[in-house]
Amino acid sequence: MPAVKPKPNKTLLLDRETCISCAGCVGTCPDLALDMFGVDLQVFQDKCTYCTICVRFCPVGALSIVKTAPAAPTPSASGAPPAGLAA
Amino acid sequence: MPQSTAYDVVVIGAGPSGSLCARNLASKGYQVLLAEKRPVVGVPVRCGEATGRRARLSRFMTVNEEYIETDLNGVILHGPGGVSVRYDKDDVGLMIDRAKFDQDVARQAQRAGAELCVSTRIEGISPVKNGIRELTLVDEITKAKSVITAKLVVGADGVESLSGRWVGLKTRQLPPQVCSAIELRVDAMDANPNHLTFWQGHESVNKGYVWVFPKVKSGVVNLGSGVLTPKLGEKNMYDLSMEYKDRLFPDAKVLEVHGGAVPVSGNMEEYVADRFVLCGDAAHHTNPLTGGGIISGILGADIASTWIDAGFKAGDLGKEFLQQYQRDCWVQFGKNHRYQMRIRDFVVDLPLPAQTAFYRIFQGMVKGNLSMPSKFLGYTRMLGLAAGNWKTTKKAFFT
Ligand SMILES: Cc1cc2nc3c(=O)[nH]c(=O)nc-3n(C[C@H](O)[C@H](O)[C@H](O)COP(=O)(O)OP(=O)(O)OC[C@H]3O[C@@H](n4cnc5c(N)ncnc54)[C@H](O)[C@@H]3O)c2cc1C
Ligand code: SF4
Ligand code: SF4
Repeated sequence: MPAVKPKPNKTLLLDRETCISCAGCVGTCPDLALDMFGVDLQVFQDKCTYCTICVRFCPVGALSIVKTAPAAPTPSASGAPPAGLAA
Repeated sequence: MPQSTAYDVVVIGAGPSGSLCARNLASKGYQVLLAEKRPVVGVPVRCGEATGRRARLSRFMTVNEEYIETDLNGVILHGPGGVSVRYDKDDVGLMIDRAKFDQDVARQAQRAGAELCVSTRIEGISPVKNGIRELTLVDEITKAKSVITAKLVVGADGVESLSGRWVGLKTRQLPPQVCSAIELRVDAMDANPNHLTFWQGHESVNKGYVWVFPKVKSGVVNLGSGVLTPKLGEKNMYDLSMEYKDRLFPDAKVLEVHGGAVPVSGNMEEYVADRFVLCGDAAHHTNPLTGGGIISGILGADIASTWIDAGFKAGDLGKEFLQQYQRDCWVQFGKNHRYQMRIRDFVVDLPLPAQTAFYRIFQGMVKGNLSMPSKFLGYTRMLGLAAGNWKTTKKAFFT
């Protein structure tokens, strides 16, 4: 296992309303941080390195990377935005 | 849940290639499990639903009229500079209902004796131990986990394939060699209901194309677009498809939106391991020029099943033996895919005036009643081979 690097203050946001569950992003992620469960895309934030590949790929623009405040709580594995981010 | 815990072959994914492979192996008497994570095979559809000629399909199965939507008798290609190429010929291909098609092939597998389990996700594959691989299986409804064993695993888990990566193969979809694609099901009928229509080039979409495929039986058209992975901030495929929809069918309703990834990297170097083979989209068997993966996926799966059977008979399911499957695929379609990829890169790299000229030549060839596919492929092969691609040609001649 590689040494755990400190996480950058970023979050991969998934807009579930926009996502069409095409699963295309899953195969493009270099870090196995995405998987499709039924029609539910799961983002494993702990694996994500914020490389933006899936963001570029997504044909509907449902994924985005946002900066989070340094003190922001760790987002849950479900990819839900951390509290305070939902505008 | 599967009825047994030990199988000869476990096939991951009941897409066309997985089901066909399962069918062939089950009919040869092997005990086969076909595991599909979706609750219903083939749904949702992630496909433009155009495929090859009846004769090609019937090499592998009895064609069932139930899933045939349109008998195609031509192609219209709108290139740059207002150059359009129209090619009319009977029986150039078929439009199918992919959900029904996938279900039909899965049923064939079941009839041959394979056990189909839906809502069954494979979550991991162990290294080979005592001549078997262990697979972790999750029931998607109860979330219960269990372990089953297989003497050989077939990864036919499509473009989202992770199975190859679990056993250490480098099968990731590497941008830009993966197409980001969208498809709208539009409640309208095209003016040319028996033709496939494409838009390609600098004036529409260069590193990909827009398509209109009519499904006559259902009375809808598939309007979609796909492009090599765009750069950050470029227009997404949904917006582009909607522009075309508003232009072509302004009043029609969009019934469904689908999307997906199309692997267009051409053949991979390595897609077998000890007691493990990949086929279909998971093995990047998709045609890198057209993005069509139904027929080549099926062909690959057919070849895979032949070699797996041979491996069982020879008592050797090691990587070296299974590499013969890779070599066979290379000969039967891999080589051709590499040529087509060169043609694609050649056309895409041409600047607008040269691209327009290229389309004019192509138009002339088609109008001249040449046997289009063979002559065109022949010419462009020569061009593509000689030039490699436009950038190197330019370097050689103009600098
Ligand atoms: C928008 C779009 C348009 C297209 N248009 C065309 C076209 O017009 N013509 C054409 O020929 N091709 C087209 N293609 C390509 C074509 O759809 C694919 O090449 C084809 O589906 C590949 O078949 P497959 O059997 O390899 O994989 P798939 O059909 O993708 O099947 C893979 C199956 O594996 C299942 N699976 C994945 N992971 C697991 C797991 N861990 N456990 C259990 N099951 C799993 C999936 O749920 C899926 O059902 C298009 C693709 C897209 C995205
Ligand atoms: S940003 Fe990169 S690492 Fe993170 S999920 Fe997307 S592709 Fe994977
Ligand atoms: S690529 Fe976009 S639309 Fe497709 S599953 Fe991923 S987030 Fe959803």
